[in-house]
Amino acid sequence: MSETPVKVVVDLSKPKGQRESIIELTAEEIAEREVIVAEAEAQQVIDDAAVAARADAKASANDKLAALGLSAEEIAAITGA
Amino acid sequence: MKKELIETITVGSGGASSIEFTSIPQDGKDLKVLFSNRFDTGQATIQVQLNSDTGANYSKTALNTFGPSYVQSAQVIDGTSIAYVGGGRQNFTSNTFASNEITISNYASSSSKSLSVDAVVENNSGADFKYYLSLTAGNYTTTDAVTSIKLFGSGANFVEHSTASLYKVVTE
Repeated sequence: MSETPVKVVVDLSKPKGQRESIIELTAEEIAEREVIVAEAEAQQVIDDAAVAARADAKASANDKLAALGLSAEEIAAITGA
Repeated sequence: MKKELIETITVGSGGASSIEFTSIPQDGKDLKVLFSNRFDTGQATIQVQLNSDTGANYSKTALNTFGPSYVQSAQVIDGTSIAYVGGGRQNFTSNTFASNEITISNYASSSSKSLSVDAVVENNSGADFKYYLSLTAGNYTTTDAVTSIKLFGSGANFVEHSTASLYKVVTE
């Protein structure tokens, strides 16, 4: 990879064969990119927490069903697990 | 209806942080992008941004499966782009590329634009993350016609041989 990231811009107003430009990112674009990285990482934390909470709730629900006397097969049949 | 190829771009050696189609002809009904890609990092999220619009004018809902054991359903997210899971990761099997199809309906109209993405990548390795399957429904909430499409990763680069083809759907 080059030192400075590049972008490929395809200007469709130009004739075929002359449309593609490879342009180094500006400092502003690199800064914007870093903001997006931070947003994506924050979203990933939210997604991971939601998945973990759902897994915990599922385990808790299965425990309660088992406490009511349902077998593992019966729990699987009604939960689709 | 028929699909006409507007342009195909393949990333060269050194990779690229983004691929952007600009000055999109306005004589079509819908747009389609077929996108074969792989990142140079372990990330898998691809962002779609329209008209260079970095405002909070996008919303999406997604269903993601990270096979074989993990399903992440019904994310509802508003943001400054439409992000979807479906890029090839660097740590996946060598030379494994993701396959994505993006559709933007009524792109030249003044109504808000619906967008759909289906994306798959086959890793064929590892207990988890053997594959991704994702379906994303998005909306671009402005009245502006779509004149440009930018595809990029969050801080990652698309590797050499990643290829994006832009089509327009036209009435015969």
